[in-house]
Amino acid sequence: MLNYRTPAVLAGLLLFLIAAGVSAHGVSGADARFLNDAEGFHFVVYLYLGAKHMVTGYDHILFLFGVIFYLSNLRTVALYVSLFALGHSITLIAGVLMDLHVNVYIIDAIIGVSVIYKAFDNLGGFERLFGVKANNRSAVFIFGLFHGLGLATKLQELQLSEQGLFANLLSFNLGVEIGQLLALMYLLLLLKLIQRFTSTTMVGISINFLIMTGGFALTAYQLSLYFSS
Amino acid sequence: MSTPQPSLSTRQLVLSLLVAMLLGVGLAMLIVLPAEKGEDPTGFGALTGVDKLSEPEVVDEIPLVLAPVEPVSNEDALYIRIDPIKSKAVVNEFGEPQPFVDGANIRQHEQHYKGQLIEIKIDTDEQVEYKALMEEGDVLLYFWEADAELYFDFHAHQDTGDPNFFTRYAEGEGKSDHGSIVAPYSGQHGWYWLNIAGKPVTVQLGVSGYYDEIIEIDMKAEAE
Repeated sequence: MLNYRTPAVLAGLLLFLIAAGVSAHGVSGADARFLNDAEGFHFVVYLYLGAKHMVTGYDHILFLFGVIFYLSNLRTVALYVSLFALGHSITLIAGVLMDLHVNVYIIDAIIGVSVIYKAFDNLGGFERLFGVKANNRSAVFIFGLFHGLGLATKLQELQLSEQGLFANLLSFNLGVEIGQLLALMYLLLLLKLIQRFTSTTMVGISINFLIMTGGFALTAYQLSLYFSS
Repeated sequence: MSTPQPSLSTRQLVLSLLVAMLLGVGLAMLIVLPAEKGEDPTGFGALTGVDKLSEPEVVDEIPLVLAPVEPVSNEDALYIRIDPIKSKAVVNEFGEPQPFVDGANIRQHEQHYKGQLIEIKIDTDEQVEYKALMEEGDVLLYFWEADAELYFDFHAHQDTGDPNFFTRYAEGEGKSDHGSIVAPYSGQHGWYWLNIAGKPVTVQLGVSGYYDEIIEIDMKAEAE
């Protein structure tokens, strides 16, 4: 049952999502210029850029929110987030070092699909429609691989200097994890807040429906960019 | 710390998936794409004005470099790396690079450069001549493109001295040319075209750079 506070909470969530969406995703203009010109090892710079990418990366955050939405305790949250981090670290580092070039729109579209997948799974969709409970751990790990590939393509758009590449990459990756933890803290707080005001299944359905809608918007947007590029 | 996981019917699930898809794709196509990229597949962006958000900031009164090519987005331009000029670098006693003094390499003007795109129709067997009035050492980028072959004579006359003296940059037959001039002296620099196509021809002439004005030489008066 919806109570009178629900609309306020949903509005707050929507505002949060919009605020996250306003700041440009990817590595923005001035940052890109710096990275193009910089040579050698810049620990704090790459750390900051990694964290910023994660905190402002609404596609990663939507996915993360979907992942933790129905987790029952902090230990499970830590497990899933670690699996996600392991997945994206592997492809981020391997992608840049092996100079793998994947179309950025396709990757971002897949990331959008991961958001749809997770929200639909939260609604119990796969169990009901296909009679199978998706293996959540491997799903989170595999989508983590795709998210990392997305991070790698964005770093590769810049001409990174060979000098200090590996150390810079590790700094960026560390930054990504810090940013993810920061985002996670806000998301957990938000979840707590939602549950404090209302603990009905209707709210869960509404929010996951919104996440799913966001996933479709991301996917459609990226695919149309791919076809027009 | 968990709300109970929902148990929806197949019908509800399929419905929520379809509605989410409709809303999500609609949002992307109607608003996000026009606002972010200026692509407006539905026309809704133009209707509501959100497509204006993606237009690059326009600075008034600055002529564009006229070029017959697709513009690149400013995002791409960020990734073009310009190598520093290594030749002719002058350093002071501290090893710091000093400004060029050589006017052949760099010249700063008080005014912004100009640009013009001129469409010229030339009748069968007719001849026309267009000239840019330039100061010595100034730079002009140009292109011209015709829809049929023309005879062209790309040349310059000096402001002073013998009026019959001229410098020929290039001549020949063709449908287009593009390039740049650094004016070897103050005077008229430009193009003579003779229509040898046997039918009327249209030429697009684009210029951009430092010049006073583009003039058309009256060929009938010249002939008399």
